[in-house]
Amino acid sequence: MIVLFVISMDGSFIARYDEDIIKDELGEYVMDIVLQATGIRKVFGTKSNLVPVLDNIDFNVQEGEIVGIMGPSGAGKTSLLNILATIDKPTSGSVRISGTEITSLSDEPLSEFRREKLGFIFQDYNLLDSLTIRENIMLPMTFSNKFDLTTDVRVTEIAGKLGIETILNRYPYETSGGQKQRTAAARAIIHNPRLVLADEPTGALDSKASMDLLSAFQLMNDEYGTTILMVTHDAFAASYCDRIVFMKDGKLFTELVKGDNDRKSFFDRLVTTLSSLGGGSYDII
Amino acid sequence: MTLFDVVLKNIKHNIQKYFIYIASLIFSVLIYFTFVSLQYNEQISAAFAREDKMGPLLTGVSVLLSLFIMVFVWYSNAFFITNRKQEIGLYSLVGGTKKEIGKMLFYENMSLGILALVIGIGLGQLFSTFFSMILLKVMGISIVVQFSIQPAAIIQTALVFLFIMSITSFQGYLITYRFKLIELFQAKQKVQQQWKPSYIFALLAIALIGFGYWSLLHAFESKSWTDHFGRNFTMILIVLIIGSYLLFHTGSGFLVHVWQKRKKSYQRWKNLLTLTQLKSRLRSNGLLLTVISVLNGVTLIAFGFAYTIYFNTLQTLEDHVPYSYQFGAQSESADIEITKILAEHEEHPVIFDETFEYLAVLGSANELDSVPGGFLYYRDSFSVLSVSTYNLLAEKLGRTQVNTLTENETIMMGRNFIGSQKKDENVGNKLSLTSPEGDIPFRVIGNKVETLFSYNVQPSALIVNDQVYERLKIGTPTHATRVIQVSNQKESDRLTDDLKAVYEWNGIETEWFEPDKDFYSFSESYQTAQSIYGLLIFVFGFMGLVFLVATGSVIYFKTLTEAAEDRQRYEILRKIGLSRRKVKALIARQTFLLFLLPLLVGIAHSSIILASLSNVMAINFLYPVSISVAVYMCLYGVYYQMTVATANKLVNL
Repeated sequence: MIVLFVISMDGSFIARYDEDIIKDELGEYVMDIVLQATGIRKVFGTKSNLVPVLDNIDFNVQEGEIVGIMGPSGAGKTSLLNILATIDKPTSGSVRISGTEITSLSDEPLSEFRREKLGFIFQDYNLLDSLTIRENIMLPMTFSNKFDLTTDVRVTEIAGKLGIETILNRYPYETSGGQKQRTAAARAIIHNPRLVLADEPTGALDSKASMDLLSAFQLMNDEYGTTILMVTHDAFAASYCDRIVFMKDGKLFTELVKGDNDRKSFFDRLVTTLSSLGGGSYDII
Repeated sequence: MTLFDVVLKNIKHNIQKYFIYIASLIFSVLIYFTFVSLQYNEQISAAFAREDKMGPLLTGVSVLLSLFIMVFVWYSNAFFITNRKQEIGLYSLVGGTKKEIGKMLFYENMSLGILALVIGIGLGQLFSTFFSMILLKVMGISIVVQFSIQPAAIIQTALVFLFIMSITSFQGYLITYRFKLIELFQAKQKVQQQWKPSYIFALLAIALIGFGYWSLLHAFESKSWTDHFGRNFTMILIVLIIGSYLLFHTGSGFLVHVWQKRKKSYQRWKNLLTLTQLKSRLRSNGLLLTVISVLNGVTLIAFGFAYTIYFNTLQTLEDHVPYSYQFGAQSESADIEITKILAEHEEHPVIFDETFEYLAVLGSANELDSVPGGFLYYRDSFSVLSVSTYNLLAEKLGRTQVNTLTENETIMMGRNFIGSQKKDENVGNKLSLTSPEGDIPFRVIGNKVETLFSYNVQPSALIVNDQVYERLKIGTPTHATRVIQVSNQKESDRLTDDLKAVYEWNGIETEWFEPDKDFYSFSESYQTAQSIYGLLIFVFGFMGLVFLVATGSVIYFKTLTEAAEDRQRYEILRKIGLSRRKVKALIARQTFLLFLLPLLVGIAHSSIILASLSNVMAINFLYPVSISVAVYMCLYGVYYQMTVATANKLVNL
């Protein structure tokens, strides 16, 4: 096994990477795999009646990618996302996020891991009604004890980029769905996480608000290099991704890479693939 | 922004939502503080001086109250935290450790508790004079209460509540450790399951409650109840509680099921929508509804009982204290002095003034069916009166005189202070009295449920033939006692004081207490009784209010949570064309049943228990208990209205 230590110029230790995440499938050393899931299985039910929800899934996300997971209802998208998000544990398999095996972490280090490395966006925003938009964005910093004067500057900067700087002092109930979701996006990246996980982020938004949010994702990706993994039903939202993974019946079905296509033609290819998947209707805009 | 800032902001945000809870908490603190400060109040203690039972009663009640508050806060706290699963999940996802989240909940509950504590004590202090005045008023004591601050009461209240708060806050801390993150995001997806009600459990519920009621109503005549009152009562309570639980959990679902089968009424829109939901709601809330019915029942019993006794004080007292004054025979000069004082008090004209004598004769009661308590208390002796003495007193007291008795016949007399008696108790039984010429056997030919003495402990009295009386008198000490009846005896305390000033105690100093030598007055007995029962009604009244407030708060939050869960349902109903007004009617109807059922069960249980007590204790509960139930229902109704209004605002606007 090869272990790579990264040492800075002055000789101090920065990081240690294990072999499996620094080699790709061809054996080339790569440094930019954020998430690597291997052999994920998830089984629900009692002993007599086991229902496999996820069946042996292998899945990677590279640094700086926007990856979408699509598939019909019941395909296991959310189950997979929950496992990758450390919300749930797989029955078997391994998940490494930026070099850390998360499936074996106990509560305390897991919390620390989440607050350092992950950001979350939900369909129903999950903002605290008791806090202003600004305070909602700051919330992760509160827990990491990293709160200082620069936090405020960073909140203002990110809010400016996402177009919500004018509502920073309002409360969530005074804002629109789109603004709430962009607030959630700002909260997800305030602490500069390695990976942002989004579950149906456009699910509750109208098309204009969806577009604003997706542009915000793009911007986060361009400006801060944020890696985003999102589960979506919405082909339009998916067309903003660099790569789409399709799931069916708990398995990875196929993969679509945007490559050099423009969004329009990527969208068309997407819709074709979706109709070949069958088993459900899609919001096609 | 620190974690504590987030906590403060949450409290500020939620304070309106939790207003009812905080108000209940404040009220609990207020009542607890009032009870405690009454104990420490010197003026009140001085007024209590004669009644050494007051202190322990107040202490006992405040302990009970604090236990209840602890359970109430515990339940509410667990409930709120469960309702905030999603929020806790969010904290967890943005990187809060369980320890940090636990700390936040701990701080939050602690801050609310301290807030309630400060306001509660503040209000309690503000109204302390008012509460003391109410207490003294119901106790019939007339002194003007000064405003005073009892630091000891404040400290005790603060310590007790801080303790309760720490324990319950710690529980909040622990709850976070039980949550699994995945569950926090699935809370909303709980599906209501339809279920088939069980005939067997429904029947069992009815059988258990029926048995409990039957047993209670027959307790009066039952031998087993007479011998093991406490044991039987506890058992019946448990049977009733289990029965109520089954009734709510399955039985009521069964009844709803039967109702649904009646197509005509089922198909009315209101019924259709209410019943379907009610079936599963009653089941999942079985335990809560049982607890609420029990609380309702306990409150009604406690308050109804206290009010009844208070209400019946005068009547009970006249039965047990037949004379305005009774005291042992005095010296000639004192007797003259007393007569003079009586004449001076023209506002209390003398109705009669007699001196009579009786014998305390040792005897044997082995053959009696039930040995009177008084016989045992006065060292195995009966108080023996001659027929002529009895008839003289009976005439004065307006009672039925007795006919002549033969040599070996006797009539027994006695009245239990609490508890009913058989009219023909011991009739036909045999007893014997000891005399110098040997034991004289008697046959009991009659029984009188009355008393001829104002003594604290009633002796067991026998009426015998005049000749036999004379024979018994030889070698037995006679007790001479003077009895006086004046009008307006209730207000005769000044006369009492004057008489006591000249009264001489003529007993011999022994360790044995000689009741016949003491001085007894109706006015003092009345005041004692009024102060004891007044205190009881004060204590039970306010405790009942705390129970009511807490119960109301629990149903309030339960209803609101369920309404919030059902928000989508109501939205759909509006979309398919139900007007807002109709949706509101629907909410009101569903809430109504949630309030009404435990109230009905509580009233039913408490009425049966009180009816049973009324048989046993031979006091009439109907009027005072009806008043208590009416008052209770009104206050309960206020909670119902508030709940419907808030639920409606939550889901229908």
